This record gives sequence, structure tokens and C-alpha cells, in this order.
Amino acid sequence: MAQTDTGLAMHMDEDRDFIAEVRAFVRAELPQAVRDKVVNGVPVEAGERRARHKALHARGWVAPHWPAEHGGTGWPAIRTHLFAETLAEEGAPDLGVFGLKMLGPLLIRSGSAAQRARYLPPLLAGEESWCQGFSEPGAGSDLVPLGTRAERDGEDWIVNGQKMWTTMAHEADMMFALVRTDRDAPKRQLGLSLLLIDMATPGITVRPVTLLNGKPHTNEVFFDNVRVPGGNLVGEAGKGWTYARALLGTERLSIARVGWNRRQLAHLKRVAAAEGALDAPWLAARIAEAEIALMALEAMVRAMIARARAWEAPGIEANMLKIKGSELQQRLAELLVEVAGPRAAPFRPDAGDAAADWAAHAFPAHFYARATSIYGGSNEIQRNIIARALGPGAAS
Amino acid sequence: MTESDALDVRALLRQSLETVLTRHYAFEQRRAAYQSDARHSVAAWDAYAGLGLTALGLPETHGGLPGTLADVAMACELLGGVLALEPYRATMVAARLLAAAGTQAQRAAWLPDLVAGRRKAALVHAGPGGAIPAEAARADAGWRISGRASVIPGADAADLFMVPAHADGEIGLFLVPADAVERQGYGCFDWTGAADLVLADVPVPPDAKLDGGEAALALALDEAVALACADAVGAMRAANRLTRDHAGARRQFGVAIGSFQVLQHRMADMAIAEEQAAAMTDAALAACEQGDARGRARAVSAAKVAVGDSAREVARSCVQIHGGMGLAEEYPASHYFARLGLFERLLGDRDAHLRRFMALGAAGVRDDRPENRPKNRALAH
Repeated sequence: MAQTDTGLAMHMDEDRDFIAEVRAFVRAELPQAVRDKVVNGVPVEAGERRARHKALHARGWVAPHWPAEHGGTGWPAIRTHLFAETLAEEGAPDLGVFGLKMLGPLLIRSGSAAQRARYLPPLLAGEESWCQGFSEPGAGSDLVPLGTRAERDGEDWIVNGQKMWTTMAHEADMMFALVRTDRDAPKRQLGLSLLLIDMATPGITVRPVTLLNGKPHTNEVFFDNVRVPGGNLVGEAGKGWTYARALLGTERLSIARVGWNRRQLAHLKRVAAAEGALDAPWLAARIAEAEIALMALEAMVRAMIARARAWEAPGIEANMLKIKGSELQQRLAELLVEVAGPRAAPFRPDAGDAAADWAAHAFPAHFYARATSIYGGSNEIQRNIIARALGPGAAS
Repeated sequence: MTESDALDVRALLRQSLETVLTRHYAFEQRRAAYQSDARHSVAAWDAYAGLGLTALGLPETHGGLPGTLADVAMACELLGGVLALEPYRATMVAARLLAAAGTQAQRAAWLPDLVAGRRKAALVHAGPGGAIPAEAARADAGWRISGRASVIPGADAADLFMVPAHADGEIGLFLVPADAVERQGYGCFDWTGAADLVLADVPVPPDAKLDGGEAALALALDEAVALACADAVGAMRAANRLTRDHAGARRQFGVAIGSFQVLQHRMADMAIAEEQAAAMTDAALAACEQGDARGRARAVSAAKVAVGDSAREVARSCVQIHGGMGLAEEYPASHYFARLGLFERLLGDRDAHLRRFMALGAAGVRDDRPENRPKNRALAH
């Protein structure tokens, strides 16, 4: 009965059966220790992530959003959405957005046949991992002025420059990078191209950037005369900006991270109840408010799905969901810190059992949640986009 | 009627109502309506009745038209958008309660007039969680009802009251003609009408008691909240449009003020608030049409909290971005502030609904998730 209260349950019977099937699959495959890490915001090991990847691959579910002829499932967008949210809700670790969610669809849309044949099979099998080389020290929210350049040398490209905030570069086998190939283009964004770069190429140096939570999620990457074969240019030279923008607009339905937020609310309520924290009326009220915020997020997603059924391209709703979804992630993480109280203070990056030591992970997770309103287009950029679409003065 | 037919009918009704509102709700017409004896536009009310708005979803045997709560909500949203003064919501809530819980004779006596818009009605209750306003004692030939209630929206114009009262140890609902009640009617700060009522030992016949009681009342109050949310959504949509128009037209420092990022972000947040309120209202309306009373109450209270938060944000920003003009009586911004501000005060405030949500909420998240199971239990299936 509680299932009618919130969320994913508001679907057709066949969807409900499907969700149950996915749930059963995850529960059978996912080790409790990995689930505990995810729920507590502890980064999972590369090996643990790879095991998840292979399990999903074996089931044919690793890239549900891809077209069936390229190894996807051919599911409608809504089913793909339910699948992703159910995985998240169950505490399955993210497989990383760069390869499966960004590069794969990019190559399917704009890559050459040779690129698809070379890169898609190992990506699906979890044998090759990707990072995204967009941001630079001087180019973040505004990517257009980026300075990493690639110059022709016969058929090849020679790359020089520096990328920054390159998440997972320390583990990745490959990078798709936005580079400047034409310094004289009439508009600066017309001088950009997308290159596929093997991270093992001589001349590449990766320097991990350690965040205050002690984990190297992200990196600086230096390019010193790095030779990239001509066949690794995606699509046409000078169109990199167009491809990059299309990448940033993918996965719109999942941007709200409903499954993630549902899972973290459940964790918060369970921990708060076990600690007797719900006896404090103000804290209990704040948790209830967060639950209402989750219901609102889910209601907005449902409204968006309904509209997406009517016409395919959702507009600024996705930008709204990014803002609300990331704010809720931050709010839930903050509430967990409140429940932990002074026990959130000691820093024990190597605390063992994530489930037993939930309080030790509360503050690092809260800290890292601040990144959610920065990455993927900062929330200020999202508001800019919304405002531009509404057009001040434009009666809608 | 298929689902798509129903949607077509709703779209048609929406279009017709928009036309009616364009004709009756220019800002100056609204002022004249407010200053009239009725405190609302009699011509607009008649036009609503002519469109069949007062018949929507009521029994066809008494002249009603097919329709759902969502159709009534669609009308409420449009009326909220023009800051309409007519007691449409109050009348519809009471009429739906009468249709659901009244006796055969009561429905036959009152519904045809309510459906046709010849009479208006109001449910005398402050909203979910509020007190039962009256006591009913058995008397020789029926009941005698005593009680009082204040700030009942639409009660200033009602011909008929539905009065919840403690009766024989349970909660009963009674039909009381308006002329049997001491009534002090007035306009509220948003110009809509309301009244304070005193029932001083009012005698009513035995057949004044409805068949339905507490459960019917709970549903009616939840519907009242959901329809009020729809009204607020309409007001937010209009306030946001008004604000964006102003920001595009008003020039300072040589440019339109809408070119300032600080205002753009504020207007983006207003748009998000509007979307969130609309989505939560739809969820509450859907919950009202399902059978489960607990799920309904949770969804409705969550909506009242969330829509209220949205309303507050939109109202404040609407006035702020308009500057001094946002406070002027002769310009709509201040009126949206008033309408949205009073939405939060009526039918149960934020604290009351949050408390109700929490009281119902322990099972809000399922307990059967893996991380909620005892540790070390095998995961095998």
C-alpha cells in the first residue's frame, strides 16, 4: 500500500513487473558491501565497478538506452528511465557516465563505422573505460575559450595543452577531448573538434587532484606533443562544439536522480529512527520536508514523462530537474550530518565497514554532494538557460 | 467516453472559459465586481453556469455533466489566473459532498439549483485538521444545532450551508439554509468573499442530516485543498507571466531590467516553483480520485506544503521585481501577492499539513529494501 505513496510505483502493471525483475536481478548480484559503500557515499573500487559492469553486460542491460543493433535494448525512453532509477534505488554503483552515456551515443550518432567497430564492443564489455576532456584551467562553465590545441602533422594530430577537473582520468583507458583545431575560425566555437585519445600515448601526464574528502575523483591532464591518429577525429573538424553540446543534453530524464534520492531518503530515515533522532520534532519535520521535496521531484519527472510522450524533445524541464535533484541530494546529505551530530567530526578516511560506520562517512559524503550543483552544468548555468528560454518579457 | 474524448472535451471547455474570462475579467471589471453588492461578478457567475462549469462531475439525473475532479480543477486554475471573485470552489466542494453523501431527497431538492448555478453553497469547516464547528442535539422533531465558524470562503454568498457537527457521538453533516444562520460577510485582503457564522440553537428537521459523515467530510476537505492548489497554480502562472512582461518592458540604467542576471535567476526560480506546484497539484488531484484515504491525505498535505512554498516564493518575487508598482492597488501584482499569500492561511496552514503528513508518514518509504533488512541475512532469492 505504501507503494502508491511516492515515486516509481505510479506506473502500469507491466512496468511494475519489469521493476520487480530488475530489483530481483540487482539483489541477487550486488554484494552487500558494495551497496553499503554506495549508500554511505564511499567511492567503490574500480574492480567492484567492473564486476557490476560485466554482470549487467552478461544480462544484456549495460547500455539500455542504445539502439538494439549496437548492443542496446531498444527499450522506450521511459523503460530505460525506470531501469536506471531502480538500479540507483537499490544501491547499485554508477558505471560512469562518460563511456556508456556520452561516448557511446556520440559514436552511434556521429562516429565513423571504423570508430564504432573499434570502440563500442570493449566499452560494452567493460574492458575499456573513458574520461571526458572538456574543462580546462581557463574554461569551465564557458568552454568556448578553451586552449588545448591540436595541429595537423600529415594524417595525425599533435595535441598540446592542459585539461582540468578530468574525472576518472587516473583510471581511464581513453579520453574524448574537446580541442582547438582552428585558431582563425570566424567564431571561436567553430574552431573546436572532438578527438579520441588513448591515455597510454607518450606525452600524457595525469596528476590526480585530491579533494578534501581524501579521494582522487578528478585530475589534471597535461598534453606534451601527444600524437593522435587522424582516424580518431569524431565527425568533422570544427563541429566539436555541436557534438559536445549534444552530449551535455543527453540523459535528461535521469538528471533528477530520483532513484538516488529515494535511496538516500530511506537511508536517512532508517538511521534517524535507529538513533532516536526522530524524537527531536524539528529534525523530524525537516526530514518530512525533504520527503515532500522528493515527492515534488517525482511529480515533476512524471509530468515531464507525460509531456515527452506527447512530443519528443523536453525543453527546460530537464534544467529544472537538474537544479531540484541536485539540491535534494545536498539536502539529504546535510540532514544525515545533522543526525550524526558531533560524530560527524572525526575524519577516518579508511573507516572499515561502511554500514556500521555510517556516521564516519556522513560529512565526507555531504562535502562531496556539494559537487552536484557544480558539475554537469552548474546550477547557475541551468538558471541562465531557463531564463533565456523564458525570455524576460516574453509572455509564454 | 474514451480518455482522448475526455481530453478533447476538457480542451474545449478550457477554451470556452478563457473566452468568457477575457470578456468578464478585465482589471477594471474586477474592481467594479468587488465594489458591487454581491462582491463578485453576477454576470461572470451566470456565464460559468452557462458553460456548464457548475454542472461538471455532478449527477446527470439532476442536470449534471460528465467530468472529473481534474476538470473542475482546470476551471479553478483558470479562475485563479484572473483572480476571479466568484465562490466557484466553495460551491463545487459543497455540491460534490452533497452528491456523494446526501440523501435521495436532499439531492433532488438542492442539486438541480446548484448544477444550474441558481444557488450557491459552502461547507462550514476550516480544513483538514480543523475543529468540528458545531454540536447537534436531538430535539422533538429533528435537531438543534449550535456553533460558530470564522473566515469561511464563499459563505458570504451561499444560500445553503453544509455544517459538520458532533451528533450522537459521531460526526454528522447537516444542511442548513443560509437564512437560519447569523452571518457576517466581508471581503478578504485578496477581495474574495468570506463570512463568520453563528448558529444559535438552529432547529433543523430530521431529514436535514446527510447519510454520509466523517469519511465523506474528510474527502470533501481534501478535495477543497486540491482545488485551492489548482487556483494557486493559476495565480502563479499569471504572476510569473506578469513579472516577465514587466522585466522585459521596464528600463533602468538604459536597459530592460530583465537583462540583469540577478533578476533572471529569480525568474528562473519562479518558473521552477510554478512547475513544482503544478506537478504536486496533479498528484494531489489524482490521489483524491483513488480509494485509499491515507494515501490521499498524504498527497494532499504534501501538496499544500509544497504549493504553499512555491506560492510564497512567486508572490514575494513578483512584488520585488515590480518594485513600488508591485504594491499599487491599481496594478495586478499586489493582488497576486494577496491571493497567493492567503492560500497558505486557509484550509490548514503549513504546520498543520506538515504535522498531518508526518503523522501518516511512517510507512512512506518501504521497509523491504536490502539495506533495511537485518544485516548478514542472505541475499539469495
